Amino acid sequence: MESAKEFKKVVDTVSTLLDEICFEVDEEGIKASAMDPSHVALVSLEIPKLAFEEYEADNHDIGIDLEAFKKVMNRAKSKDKLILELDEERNKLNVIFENTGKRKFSLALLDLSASSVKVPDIEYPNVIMIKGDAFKEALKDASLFSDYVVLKADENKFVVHAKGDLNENEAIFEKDCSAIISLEVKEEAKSAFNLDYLIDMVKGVSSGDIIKIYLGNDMPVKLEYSIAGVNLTFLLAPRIEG
Amino acid sequence: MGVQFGDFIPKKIISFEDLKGKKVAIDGMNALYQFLTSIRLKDGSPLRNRKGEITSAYNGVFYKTIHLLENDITPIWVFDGEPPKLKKKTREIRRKIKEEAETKMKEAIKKEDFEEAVKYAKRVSYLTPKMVENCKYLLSLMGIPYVEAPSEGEAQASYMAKKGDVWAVVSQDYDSLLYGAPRVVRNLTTTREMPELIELNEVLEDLRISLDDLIDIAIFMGTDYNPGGVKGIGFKRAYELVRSGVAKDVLKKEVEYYDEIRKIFKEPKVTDNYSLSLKLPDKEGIIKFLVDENDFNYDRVKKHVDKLYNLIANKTKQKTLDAWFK
Repeated sequence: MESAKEFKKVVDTVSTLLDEICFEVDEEGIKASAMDPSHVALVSLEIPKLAFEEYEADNHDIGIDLEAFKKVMNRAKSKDKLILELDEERNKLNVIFENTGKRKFSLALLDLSASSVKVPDIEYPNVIMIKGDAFKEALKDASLFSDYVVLKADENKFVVHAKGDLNENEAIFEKDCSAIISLEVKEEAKSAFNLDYLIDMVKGVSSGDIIKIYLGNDMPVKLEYSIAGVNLTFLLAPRIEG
Repeated sequence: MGVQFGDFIPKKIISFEDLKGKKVAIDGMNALYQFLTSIRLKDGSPLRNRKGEITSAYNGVFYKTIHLLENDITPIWVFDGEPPKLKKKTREIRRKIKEEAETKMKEAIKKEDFEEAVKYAKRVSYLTPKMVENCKYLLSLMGIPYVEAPSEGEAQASYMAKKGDVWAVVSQDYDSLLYGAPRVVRNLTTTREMPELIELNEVLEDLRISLDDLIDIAIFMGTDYNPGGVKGIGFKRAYELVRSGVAKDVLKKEVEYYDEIRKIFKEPKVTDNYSLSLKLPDKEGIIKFLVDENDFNYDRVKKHVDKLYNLIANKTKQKTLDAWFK
């Protein structure tokens, strides 16, 4: 893979929500999905083989401790290439940073079975495409006064609203503002979500990235974006309104 | 340990009802020590798992936290970080006391004087780093927020109370008052006595002194940073010296690190980096930790895990994704 540093963002984001993960590897690429232990959030990632400069694999399930993986990825330097290599004999995943030389880390494989959890097929009335950093900043604003946030959409705008005991905050994205790429709204909708989870989910987003937000009434919110060719999908259960 | 104000300052008995709907910061180390000394079998020995590891602290963290939530009190646990250098002496004294108690306990067992053995066994309470780490792990499984203080836990808890993020600090010690906590609640994590509320304003008004004066009184009596204090001076004498305005001069002469100690209380190391929100618990994770790894009774734990889950679900209004997978 071209850039170890970019892939680090993926591992960083996923590891804030999950402790361990099982990568399902086949000829077409790598997939993984899992719910967090409290069943509030779901993470799904897909690395098509095109995301790699070179890709050679057959069917394997690779269980990894994400804390250890994260530590290793934190050692990636900006011009390092990333090589992932399965050592079946020793039951390890070799993570190799290639630059002026090769730095190799071997991670123990965990005995995890591939999760049967897949992103459920939910039909959403509304899809918002927004610049990642704009959404991320709006969430950070919201966290000043509250630990949850209400996401609202109507045909003219997308709104991020937070209300504490005394103070309030609102980020308004009009349909034609520069942060909004597209706003497809079939019905006016709003749902409330825990901010800690949402902020964790967009951790890996940097300027230039675009987030697709699927929003309904009292439904889980679905977020989609990609980093370094890796497609990430997150689902977060709503709070009960009121 | 901490400073012993005891009966010299005003306090009032309150009930759990008075704390309803409030968040409190628990002095984590203080509570864990309490669990370790009080949650014991009839023979005075602590609870253990089959490997012989002591599990009293986990019992306290689990059941006490749920008990508080049931009373609509949200506990935020605060743990110590790096202690100030001046605390070294206190820590040495504590270690020595424990070693002596351990010797006496062994002697009592040899003489088959079990009453004596129980008495000393309670003083031999080592809170290991592993126990503390496991308590934090258990809290994270339970979805209960905890804060890692940069230095003293009581300083951090007091800071959170001063900011208004929590209503009071929960501790058996009075040191939080010196850190400026507006309210300290005692006996909340014990079972035998009624909770007591101490309000800093009332203490200062009642004694007609400033917080600086109160800190001076504490330094006379002895704090964790100058154990023993100034020889021969108790609360009454210290209070007189403070009221007569000569306290600072006496302390400067008598206490080696007077300025440093004051600074620990006045400008403690604290952090704003914490979250206070509850999360839905990891039910399976809790059962794995308490029942499979630490030999707690399954039925009792299961009942409380379900209770915890419902309490947090009601409080946070957080749904799970399960409904969308049917």
